[in-house]
Amino acid sequence: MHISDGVLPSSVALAGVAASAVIAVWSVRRTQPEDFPKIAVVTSAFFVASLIHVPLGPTSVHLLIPGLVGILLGDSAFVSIGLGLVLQSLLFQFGGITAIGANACMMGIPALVAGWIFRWLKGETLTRHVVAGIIAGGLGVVLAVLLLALLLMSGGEDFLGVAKLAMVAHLPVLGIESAVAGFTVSFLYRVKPDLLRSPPTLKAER
Amino acid sequence: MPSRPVSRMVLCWLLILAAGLLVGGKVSHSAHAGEPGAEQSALAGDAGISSDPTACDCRHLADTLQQQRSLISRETGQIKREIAALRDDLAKPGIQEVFAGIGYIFGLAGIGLYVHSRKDRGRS
Repeated sequence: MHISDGVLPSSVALAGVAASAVIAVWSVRRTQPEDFPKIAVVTSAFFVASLIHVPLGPTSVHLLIPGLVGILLGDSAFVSIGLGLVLQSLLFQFGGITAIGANACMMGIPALVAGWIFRWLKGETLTRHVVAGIIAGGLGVVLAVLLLALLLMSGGEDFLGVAKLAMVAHLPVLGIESAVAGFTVSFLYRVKPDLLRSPPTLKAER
Repeated sequence: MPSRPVSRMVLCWLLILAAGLLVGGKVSHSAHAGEPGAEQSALAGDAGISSDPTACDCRHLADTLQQQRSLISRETGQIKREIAALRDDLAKPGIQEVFAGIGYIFGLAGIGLYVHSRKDRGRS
């Protein structure tokens, strides 16, 4: 799910670049240097996840994992997704360079929202963590699809038509990502719960 | 001399006949020479096409050529489809691009940590 060059009007592409630059600066300022290795690992996972294709009739859709990135990185998720998208665009030719801002907003904002929702819902128990992970993982995909339809609407497409089509196409991805987020959260809660804590909390404990 | 005018008349008639024959022969020859296919078509018309063995061979040859042409075009289409599929495969990112991207990500994280550690050292 990447927007290519020439799909969006230039005004929307420029607005996307401006918005993503502002959010990226905010995200960098919220990032602790101690989290760099964790961000690198999650960014690598996000970068490679787009190569995992789910066959769907004559075409296929690939994993997006904005929800999982948001769960693991919190406010730093936008930097991670922006860097991953730049490298995907340069190395894989996924998405256009001119649409990089719009793509970053389309994937980064759902990641941030999913991170906030996860932190809001996670509670203290394993069950609540897993449920919050499943919801946040699915929410990332749903928000990304809605933002895609919103961006394509600026290019003259019908919002509801695109949203329905993209949502139906990404239903298998939604299911897979919810399950992956649930399993990941469950595993990390038992093995290394520190990774599920947001950076400010981590800092306050020291 | 009544025979002289008669003989002159006969001579003149003979001369005219000879000239007529000569001119007529030349005209008919030139007409045949101007249409190279005419003689052949006349021959074919006389012989009849269906009974000509060379014409049968030509038709058979044309049929064979047509069959071979359709076979070759089918095979060429197959090869073109294979080339298109190969091009699609080559356009897909390979293992090199994947490792290059991961390398960039870890490299940037490393640079970030290096800058951070230098800042820390400067403070201490």
